[in-house]
Amino acid sequence: MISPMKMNKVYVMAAVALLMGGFNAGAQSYIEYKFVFSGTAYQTNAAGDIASTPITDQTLLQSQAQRLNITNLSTISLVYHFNGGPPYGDTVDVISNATGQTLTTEFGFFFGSDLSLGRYAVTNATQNEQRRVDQIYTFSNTPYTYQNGDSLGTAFTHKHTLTDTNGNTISFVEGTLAWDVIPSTGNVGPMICVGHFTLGQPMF
Amino acid sequence: MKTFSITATILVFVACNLSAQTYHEYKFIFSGTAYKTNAAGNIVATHITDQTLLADRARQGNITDLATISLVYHLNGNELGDTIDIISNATGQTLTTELAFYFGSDGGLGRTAVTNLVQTQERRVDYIYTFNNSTYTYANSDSVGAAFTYKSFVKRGKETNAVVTGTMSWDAIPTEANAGPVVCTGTFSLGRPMF
Repeated sequence: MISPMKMNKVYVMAAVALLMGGFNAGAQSYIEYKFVFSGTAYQTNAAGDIASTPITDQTLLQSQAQRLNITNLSTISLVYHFNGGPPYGDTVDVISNATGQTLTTEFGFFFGSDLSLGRYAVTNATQNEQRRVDQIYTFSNTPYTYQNGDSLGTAFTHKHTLTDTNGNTISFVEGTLAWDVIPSTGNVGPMICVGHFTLGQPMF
Repeated sequence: MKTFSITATILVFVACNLSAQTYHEYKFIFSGTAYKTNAAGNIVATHITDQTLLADRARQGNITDLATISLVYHLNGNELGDTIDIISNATGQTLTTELAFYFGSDGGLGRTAVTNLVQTQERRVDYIYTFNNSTYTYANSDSVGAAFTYKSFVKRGKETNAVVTGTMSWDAIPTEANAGPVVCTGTFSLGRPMF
């Protein structure tokens, strides 16, 4: 027979076990977060003037969706992918929301700390904060990207990671980036884009 | 009376010709932040300006009077593009190059600027090169950052003035001149024309 005291003990133990399980389930470290971007695209218009157009992460997502023949934007996301392009660095990918599968890569943030290229990030002693200048690479022809072997811009990036006592890790990345796009099948004229980015909700 | 008139005409003409020159070097105005890891292991931000950069290089060159030199934006300072030079105020002589803005519009590298039809305005992403080891620069053959640059050329009479503004960020790896890595970021514009 279980006494009330024992009942209480069982209840407490069960509660602790549930809490532990809950914390363990939440202890995963995400490697992909929504990429939140707000900026401006500059292009020469038909009158010969440089015109500026506001662009966001949704503008970029839509242009890649069009290329991939995806009509329902709610099924995909633009994400910042930590170490998405090993060994070169992080990437900004278009992924399936259902599976997390990378459908295409929008940007590579590469070679921001590569001694052989004379580039170096500033990192704190506990290795959870970094300031760096990343080179921007683009890999496909869309209105806002161009398939190119060389870098097409840079990002000034601030990365910060917080880990709680249960091992849960959350990352913060924010910065400015500027890149250019030469005319291609996806873009009739040259374009320069500039803006600010942060991370949104963790995805995978 | 005639002599006075001729002299006045000559003076006005000379004055016009003097003001008609198109400058290719303007004071470089910079305001930004340098990030470094301090002795406690934390990343610390320090405000830097064009005068910080100038003083640092002057110290290396044993120049004590900063009033004799200037940091200038040099249009076409090099066949590869514009440069930020330290010059003698007296002669305009380039003493050293602090930064270079290269390959911002190079079809061979897949890079292009956006220019208006009448070629008076440009938006571009320039790659930053540094050539010397100092607190804020590193002698490197690869680019160490980039600038998002807006260039505009304004014609007033026979004189053309350049307006250049932008944001830039670059890094410097540790050398004998710099104990730890530095990442710098900031905004720039042009000041008064120099030469």
